[in-house]
Amino acid sequence: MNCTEFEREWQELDDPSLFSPPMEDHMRNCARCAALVREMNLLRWEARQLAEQEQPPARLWANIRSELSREGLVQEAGARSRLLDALSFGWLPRLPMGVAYASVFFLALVGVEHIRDRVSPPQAPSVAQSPAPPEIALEQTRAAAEPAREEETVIQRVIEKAPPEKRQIYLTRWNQLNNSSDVLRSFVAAHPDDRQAILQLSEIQDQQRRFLESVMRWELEEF
Amino acid sequence: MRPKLKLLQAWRWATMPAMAAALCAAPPAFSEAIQRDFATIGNPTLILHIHSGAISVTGWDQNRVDIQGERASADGMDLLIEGNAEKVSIETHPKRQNLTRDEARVDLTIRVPRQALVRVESEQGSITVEGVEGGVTVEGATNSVALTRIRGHVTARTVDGPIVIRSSEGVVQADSISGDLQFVEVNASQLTGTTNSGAIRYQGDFGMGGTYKLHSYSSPIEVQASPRASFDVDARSIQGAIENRISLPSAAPATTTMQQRRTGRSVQGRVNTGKSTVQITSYSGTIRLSGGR
Repeated sequence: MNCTEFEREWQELDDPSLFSPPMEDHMRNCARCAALVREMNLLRWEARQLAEQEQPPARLWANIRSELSREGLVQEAGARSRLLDALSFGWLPRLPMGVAYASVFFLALVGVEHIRDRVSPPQAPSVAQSPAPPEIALEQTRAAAEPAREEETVIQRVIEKAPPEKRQIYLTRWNQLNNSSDVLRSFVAAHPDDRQAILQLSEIQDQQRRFLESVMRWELEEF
Repeated sequence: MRPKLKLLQAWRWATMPAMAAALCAAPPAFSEAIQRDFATIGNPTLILHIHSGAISVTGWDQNRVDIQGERASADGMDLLIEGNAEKVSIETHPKRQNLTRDEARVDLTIRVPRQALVRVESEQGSITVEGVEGGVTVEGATNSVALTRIRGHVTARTVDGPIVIRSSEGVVQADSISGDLQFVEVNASQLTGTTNSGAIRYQGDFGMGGTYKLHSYSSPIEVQASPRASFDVDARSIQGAIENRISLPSAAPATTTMQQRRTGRSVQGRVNTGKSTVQITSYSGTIRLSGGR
């Protein structure tokens, strides 16, 4: 399966988290598609958090309005500008929740596509994605030797939102993986030519990523 | 007679509050039987998304998906079963928060066509899948997972729960953070078992000329090869020990002779003709090798 086939199958899934075995295989071997899935899961989770959040206080919009009015950028009440209408977000609560979700997803999708196009050149669709050779895997692991701060922040937020009975399990296992990763990272720093140690570090980082994906999905689906 | 009657009355009064308390404390169970049946094609997809409960999926030689089970609390869990010829899905969703484990329980016994593709997601309880050849993916948290006589792609993943795979063939991937992994008579073109702190145990032939990778961080890895097993082995524990009881008279092509470092942390060699490749690595776990010729 190549990246194009993966994306096509992914779009056709009823549930975007229910991957077929060939898709799972592809994700294991393609960092780009795996990252795309992670990004989308994160966006889904963020979208849910967004929907659960309360609207900003009315005084915030009032302050913005008075500030814009003072700057002469908008007219006072009675002749509200489109900009102000848009800023007030008054339309958001009136939309059905489904449409709101759809809007967030669409924007997120556009964002991901945009970022992806900027980060990596488009791939020829006919070329099958082959597993990364060991040298590339080693380089990727070395490059990822710095802790993924963004993932750390995300998982902490997801764990904080989880029900209390699950929070402890998640936290314990996440810390366990982090500790292992730290120990191996130190070892690799001291033994940069030890291929097995580097690959083992790569395994632990994969486990961290899988754990992050699973926890986000479970919490997203209200398990 | 009279004192006896009085005694009986006193006993009755004494036991009445206890009986009332028992009735209040244990309201009648509202469990509900589940029974559904779908006519399907030969290789349908079964998707289970279950919160908690015992799940058993077995392949059979009929083009039907048969679902039997019990929902412990109809008040606690929503149960959604949908199906057509190509796909059957079962989902549970909690109706309210803070459900007890028993209230959330939905037990299912399902029979599917042998070529079905099965995907199970669950958080608690046991998951067993047997005799399925269209591919199996299981993802759990604290679940115990047992997969038997599976062919094709097998992916099993848990956070804490043990995974046992028996008498299976194909491309096998098992992964747990702290759960134990056990492979019994599993022959794979590609097998990967990864844990952080769960023990790994492989017993069997290392057949199909495949590549077998067993990785742990701190836990033991035990390999018990059958006498007919044929493989090249490369085992290494960075900080742990290796206890090797396999005779390795011939070297694998890529290595010199059986290498056992002074620290006893690395073993390489060939068993029989070296048809399969076995790579075992651990950071601080002990690696135990036994069996073979």
